[in-house]
Amino acid sequence: MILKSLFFLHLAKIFKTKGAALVIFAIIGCWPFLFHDPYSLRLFTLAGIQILLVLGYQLIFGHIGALSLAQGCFFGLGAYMAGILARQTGLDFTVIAVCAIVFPGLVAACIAIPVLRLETHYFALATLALSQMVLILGLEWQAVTGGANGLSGIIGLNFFGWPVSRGAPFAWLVWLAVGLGAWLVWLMTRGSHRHRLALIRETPLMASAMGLDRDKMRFWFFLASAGFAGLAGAFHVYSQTVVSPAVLHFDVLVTCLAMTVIGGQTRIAGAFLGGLLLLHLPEWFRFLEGWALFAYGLALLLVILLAPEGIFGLFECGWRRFWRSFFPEPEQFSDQPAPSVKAQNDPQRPAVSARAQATVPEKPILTVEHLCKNYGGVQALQDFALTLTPGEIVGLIGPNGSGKTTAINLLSGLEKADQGAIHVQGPDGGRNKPRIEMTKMAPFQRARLGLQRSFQTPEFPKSLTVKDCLTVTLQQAPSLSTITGDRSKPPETIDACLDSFQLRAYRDHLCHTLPLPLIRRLDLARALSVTPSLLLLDEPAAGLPAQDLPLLSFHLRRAADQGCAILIVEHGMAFLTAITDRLLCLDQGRLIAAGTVTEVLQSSPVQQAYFGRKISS
Amino acid sequence: MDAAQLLFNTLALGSAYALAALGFVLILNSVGTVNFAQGDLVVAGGYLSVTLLSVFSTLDGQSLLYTLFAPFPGILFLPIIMGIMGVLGALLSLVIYFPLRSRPVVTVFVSTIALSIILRSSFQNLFGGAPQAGPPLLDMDHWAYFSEIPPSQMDSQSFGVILVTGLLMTALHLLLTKSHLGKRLRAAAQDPAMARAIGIPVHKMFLLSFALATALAATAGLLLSNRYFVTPDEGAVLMLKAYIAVTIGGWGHLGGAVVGALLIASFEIIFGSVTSQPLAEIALYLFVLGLLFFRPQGLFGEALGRRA
Amino acid sequence: MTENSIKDGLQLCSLTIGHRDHALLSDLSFGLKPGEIFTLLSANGIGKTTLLRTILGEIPALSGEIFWQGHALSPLPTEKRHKRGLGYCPEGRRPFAAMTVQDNLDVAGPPTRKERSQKLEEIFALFPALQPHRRRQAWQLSGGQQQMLALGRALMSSPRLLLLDEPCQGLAPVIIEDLMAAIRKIAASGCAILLAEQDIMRSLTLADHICLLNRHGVQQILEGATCTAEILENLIAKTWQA
Repeated sequence: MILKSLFFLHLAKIFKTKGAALVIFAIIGCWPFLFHDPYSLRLFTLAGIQILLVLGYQLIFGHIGALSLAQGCFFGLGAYMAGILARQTGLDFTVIAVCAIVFPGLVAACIAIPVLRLETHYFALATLALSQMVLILGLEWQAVTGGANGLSGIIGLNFFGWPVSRGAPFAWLVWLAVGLGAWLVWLMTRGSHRHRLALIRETPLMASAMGLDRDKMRFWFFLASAGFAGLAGAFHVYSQTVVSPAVLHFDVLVTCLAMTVIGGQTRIAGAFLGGLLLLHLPEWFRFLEGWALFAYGLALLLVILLAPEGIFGLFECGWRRFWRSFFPEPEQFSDQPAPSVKAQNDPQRPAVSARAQATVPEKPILTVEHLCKNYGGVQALQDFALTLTPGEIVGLIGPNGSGKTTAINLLSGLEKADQGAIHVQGPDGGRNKPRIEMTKMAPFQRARLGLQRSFQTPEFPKSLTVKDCLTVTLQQAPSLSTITGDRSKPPETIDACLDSFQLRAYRDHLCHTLPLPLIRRLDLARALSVTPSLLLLDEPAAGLPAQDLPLLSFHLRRAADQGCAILIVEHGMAFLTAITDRLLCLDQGRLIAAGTVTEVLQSSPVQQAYFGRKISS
Repeated sequence: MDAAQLLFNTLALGSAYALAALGFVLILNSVGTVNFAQGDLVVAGGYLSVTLLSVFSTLDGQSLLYTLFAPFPGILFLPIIMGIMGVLGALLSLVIYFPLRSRPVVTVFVSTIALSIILRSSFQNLFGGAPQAGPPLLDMDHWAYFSEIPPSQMDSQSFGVILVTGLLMTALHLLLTKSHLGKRLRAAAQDPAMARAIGIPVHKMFLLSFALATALAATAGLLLSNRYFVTPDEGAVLMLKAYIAVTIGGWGHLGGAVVGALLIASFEIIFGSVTSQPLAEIALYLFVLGLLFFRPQGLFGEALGRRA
Repeated sequence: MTENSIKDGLQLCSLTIGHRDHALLSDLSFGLKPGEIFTLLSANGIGKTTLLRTILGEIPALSGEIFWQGHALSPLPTEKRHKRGLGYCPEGRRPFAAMTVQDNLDVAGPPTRKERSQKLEEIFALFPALQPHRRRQAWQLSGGQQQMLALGRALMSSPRLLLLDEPCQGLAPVIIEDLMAAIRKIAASGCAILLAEQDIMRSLTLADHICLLNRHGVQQILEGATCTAEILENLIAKTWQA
């Protein structure tokens, strides 16, 4: 009885969340059976071709967030490749299709490398310039492309040897490709892939800190989008039997962009909806005549202003709301009181020397030498040096403008040092790990070496829940090697992690709705859950209510006991006194004091730097 | 064509491009967004001048109004077009920019693409696809009264274009560097929060920037309309030229945009006279791609850090 | 507002400031009269800058109210508060870097040309060191000159309440002397000054009242005249390592 009700509950959940998409697919599935006159079939085929194009565009524009204006160009390249091959050779369509996919892909690869890293407006310009160039080539290169008239007489499609005639068989072939394409997009963007893409698209800093390689994903998604466009172009040629420079016209991109945005930028069902709707609207509203493009533009503008998730987004929202009344949310497991943090009996951390006596003195894990950074004439950091050994907690203090943030940014890779070197090193103990120079590495590479950092104001994508965030983090863990190489502790499960940070109650909350202290806690949980070798904390206690501080201290000490070396930039002296082994003080870019906490806080230079004179006896 | 003629044509074409590019930069500097519809706003100015010309032509040939203004119809229309389009630009910004301020930059970019589509199809439907001629700046038939040796029609138009552009650019420069309003505009663009703290109404400044940019685009449209005719689809290529000019000159640099525009014009005319027009265009795009790779900050821009 | 509150100056009533829903400083209640220099003294990170920005209108207050000359400020945006007589000199100066010194000042000035040039002469009289650099672009100036420029810019609109955020940060002692003299002159003309500071001696030299802040809110408010360095040192030491 319980099993049955659980089963129905599960079914109801699927119905509520995925139901909207299923409805769209069902409608599309029935469509050709409802409208099977030749004209409607032809429209349906053209819709399929558009959907293929849009699916590709969703990859680069919807998921990666890069405004590529070359989607029409790739469509045209695929079309011409298919048209030329079909006319000159009698190759099977499978071969032609592969060529039509690969050729735009190669072109995309060529311009991707220099151009993908550029900011939006440069990237858009580069893809636009490419499109224009290819259009002119299409118009002028008479010998190959047939000039303004194009090439005609492309008939006779053979698929694995069988001839595919126009009409229903061709429609089947196109929609087979659409189905495969949709499945491929689903594979690339489902589950935690979707979350990773959201991180890369909306919060690149956090993505790098988690070890995600933005450039690699952008590259492959750009290539994939070109491939989809190429295949769509090939199909287009066979449906028209001619290929002309019209396939390279900017209008192709414009329609594709409109369909993507109006349908729903990141939803597969949205691609289907956008393609089908926008293709058929001019037919249904024939009285619009020449104003079809105007309607597209207006619809695009309205959707951007009022429904950023697209029409499918609206539909899905309404669907969920409607069915919520019939299938209410199942009870969340009752909030078990999180295991309380054991009261810290000794606020002072046992000195490192006491711990170190138990083991052989360790080699430093991080060595920083002569680090300098200059911003437009202002020397933000000068001759900064630091060594961290495993298990140490070191504090970095200094008045405003002393260079603390610069130091953290240089260490985490957000800024590149002008001079100096940062080295990380594995410990001895049989395995001689070499010294790795980290000075020029990108942030995500440093994360993969075992360096984690926290943020003062952590930002997470709007669509991620707390659970999603930790899922992505823990899935990245295998790629985040640690310098110590010592993985005696297996990675935690998500729930264990949530419990130890007292976030269990917020498991399914969206990250960006959490108040700042909780987001900070989540950020810390994320950083610590992968057992890093090095941890950089940027004012972790700032703005935290007093009752959160014991939990923070507890986790930092636990991490240190496991061998993590921690550098904390902080203002709160009380907090630092309780937790750090030693302190460094910066003033106007230079180190002015180093030593134990008491030594540094009592020293004249430090007190002078802060208050202008000595304050304590 | 001799070198002098080439130079003259280059300056004339470059002037028109420069006006479009300047408007582009104004919007870029104040609100940080690329205006994809800039070229279409130029075309809008062109069509507006065509409409004004047809209205003007219905005037009685003997009337005082006609005699007074027939010698320089284009110049007469200039303030009218700038005024109308300026207001239109401010209104447009209320739709395509202000509601989207808090969204990512790409969203505003796409909204300007939507605007471009709307404008383009409106032109296609309202005016048809055939090229239409706008009013000349100086109508030479009437100048014959005053001079025994009328200069050639072509040269005088080009001369007019260069002169008008020069005057407008000087006026813009003076506005931005010497006038109180212009300085406030620049301050609002550089640091909106600080500008508010010293009492500058930042939103109004943004509206003004849009109005100015549209007025400049419209002027470019008027200047180009006589010699190059007006077609609905011109906007896309014009926008691309403005975009390229701004990139060559250095993103956000007003003077650089002018230099970039002149460079593009010389590329087209000089390169085009040696080889063919399409080849010149391809060469231009290849140059742009190379520029983006090696020196994205252009001629006068600061070296921008590539985004991580 | 209570009986004791200041009707012609700035009065904070149980003001809580912070970001979103986490508070930095709670239940702030103090006031300053015209012509008074009121210093907020604390180490960095406590929330001095956030407080100044809240009074300016950039950040909304979490609870409580700010009264200026008897009117509540919370419904007003920054531009309107500026019209009421608020002036702001931010941390790090923030001049309009690509504009000249003259333009930086001009932009902040009164609407008519005559008033503006009058005001300009006043500012150059107050900061003679800026005069030779009138036509230079702001980014080319030294730190001290930029600070004078930022202060001058705030003064162009003849504010009655000046919010100064760590004006002496990163400047040479000699420049600091000149700056402090200028601040005294401004206060003498009747302008109320709310000054955020870290340095004990500077606070003592300038302030009529010193307000010590710690991470909860106001620790203590002291009279500048009767306060000594030792008293401040002891008070700060209590929270410095606590």
